[in-house]
Amino acid sequence: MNKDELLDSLAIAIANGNIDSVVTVTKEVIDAGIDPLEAVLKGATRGLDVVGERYQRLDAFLPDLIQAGDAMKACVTALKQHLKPAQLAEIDHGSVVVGTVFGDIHDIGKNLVATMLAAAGFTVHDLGINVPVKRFLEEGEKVEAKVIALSALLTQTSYYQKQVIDYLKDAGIRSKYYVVVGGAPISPEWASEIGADGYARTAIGASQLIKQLVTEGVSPPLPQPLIINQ
Amino acid sequence: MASIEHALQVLDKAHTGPPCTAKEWGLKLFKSITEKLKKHDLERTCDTENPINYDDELANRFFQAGYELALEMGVFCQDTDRIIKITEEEVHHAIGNTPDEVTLGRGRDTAVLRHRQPESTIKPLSASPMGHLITEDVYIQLHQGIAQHREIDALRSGTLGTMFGRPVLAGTPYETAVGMYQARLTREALWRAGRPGMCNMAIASSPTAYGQLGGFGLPGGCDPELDVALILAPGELTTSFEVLHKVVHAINCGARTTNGFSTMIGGYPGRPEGATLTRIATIIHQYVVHQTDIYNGSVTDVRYLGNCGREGQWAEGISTQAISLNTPFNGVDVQNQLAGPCTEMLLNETAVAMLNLSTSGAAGYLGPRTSGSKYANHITPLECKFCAEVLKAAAGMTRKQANDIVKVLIPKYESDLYSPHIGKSFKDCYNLSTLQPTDEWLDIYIKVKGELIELGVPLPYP
Repeated sequence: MNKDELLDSLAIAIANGNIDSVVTVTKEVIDAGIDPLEAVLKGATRGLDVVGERYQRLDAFLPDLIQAGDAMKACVTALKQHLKPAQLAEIDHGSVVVGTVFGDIHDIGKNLVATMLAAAGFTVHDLGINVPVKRFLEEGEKVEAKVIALSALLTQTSYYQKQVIDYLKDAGIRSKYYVVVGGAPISPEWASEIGADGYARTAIGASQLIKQLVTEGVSPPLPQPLIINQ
Repeated sequence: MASIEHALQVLDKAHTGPPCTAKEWGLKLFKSITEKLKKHDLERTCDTENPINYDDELANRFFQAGYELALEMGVFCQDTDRIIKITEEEVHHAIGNTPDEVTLGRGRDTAVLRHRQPESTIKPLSASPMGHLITEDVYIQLHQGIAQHREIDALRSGTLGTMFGRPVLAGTPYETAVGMYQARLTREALWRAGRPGMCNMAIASSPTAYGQLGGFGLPGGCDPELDVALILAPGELTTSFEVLHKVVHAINCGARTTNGFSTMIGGYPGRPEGATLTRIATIIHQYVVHQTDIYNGSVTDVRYLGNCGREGQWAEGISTQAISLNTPFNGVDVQNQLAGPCTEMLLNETAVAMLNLSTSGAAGYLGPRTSGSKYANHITPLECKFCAEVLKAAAGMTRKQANDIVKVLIPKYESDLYSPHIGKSFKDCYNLSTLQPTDEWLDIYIKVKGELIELGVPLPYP
């Protein structure tokens, strides 16, 4: 196969979430001497875009996104040793701590966001549901996260989004993290009121939001939250 | 009638059932749904050109597949990471022993939730508003304004985000306190509206069990004789100790319950057909596992977090038909409107949803979820009244007639589902002294109602 065919094969394997096939094609890519960064950006990422578009058309579902994310992870792992440090930095968007805040046991929205972030190349640390305020900070420090993403499906639990931000401020480490918020009762106004760095209405929007925050390079906290798809 | 023995058996199973992680559960669910859809030849049956299904044979096949899904999967318990398995005998017992009507409220305000078949002439029950965030300063007026409309049969009171100005933090004693506070404010509103015996479905202000423990079945709180305990499950085919706490407490104080959940198109169930199956299975579970009296809940399309688009309406309608045709279960279905008050979009979304539910055999409706319940006080009594009017007017229409009207209405707003108009708040489009809508909001209501009459909905002229 020539270069374009190999990159197409990689995109297809990622889109289909076929890890075995991804590992095989990635090895062929390396053996063919293709620039590993090009393989990620023009092959693997294209596969993720395809599955994302399918999802929007209801031709792909949450399990497909999970499998594509796992396949992407396998591809990057295989290519890692061949990437130069600068190239690695270009595709590694960093760690995100994700969780549903204390008192809240809803996980579908949070799962969707975690899945989309993993598929987009972030290292996701999913703390699950009903997560106490301090747990977000402990995990953030432990994994050197860039972003803390807080989900709340209920008004009474949304207050804990504010508590996480207040705790970060009181601990003097607010500027270490972008804090983004989402969930059914969450609005851009609430995000602004509590001093969050971003809000997105949907899971796809959340992935775009976080990508934009970490790539634009404006240090947290932002004076006004970045709002996506409102 | 719910029994404590059965509740304890469910708890036992939650501690001894097969272990399973949440991720394994989701993938297992998706696999099982895919198999059932294939086995019953239900793949790609969602007809977006005809959002209201009128094929009973298709609805019955969905019921059979949903029934099998309920049995095969059981219910996932989030707290123990175990599966609560159910038996066919338990399902038959639930179907055989659930009464086909439920009496709500007391005295002149008594309302009866009756089992309906698709295209039934029985008028469905209407309960409003939903779990909207309503601020303390207008909490009584807003509920009074809703209850003053006689078309509305029951309340499902809104959420208080604060108590005496303090945030009601989930999982804390603030919730125990707000349970009683909400019950008292609502009762005051009903007294002012002249409907003291009206049923209230509560407690919305507390996601954990504390609100119900503090406000239901205690002197001055919600009255188990006329009110209904509101219990919301975290997701499809899932339960938790918070949910089971509420179930046990309701049994302890002799209250009826309404158990709800949301089924996600685009989540683990996948396409609308998968969401349909999952909704049917989850409704069955509400009776078998949670011993509910009234199911509630809806399908939500995660792409825009509502269900007034074509796929959402199709899944909502056919799953309602499947349950209505094959069980005595009575539901107060929820619909997820996204536009706010004082917009035509809200009324058009509502009309579509009410035509669908009423002709699909829903026993009742719970809502509206004006502005997706996202903005404080972005709900008004007028659209609650409109919901009840269309819901009841559509009783006796055929699904085909309703579908023809829905096909005209959906194109008016479907491109705005991803960026809905948030409209105006109660404070901005109501006179808070007279509890009457502004001329602007009233004119929109009259215009849309007139258009519906022109299209063939047998509404009284405004």
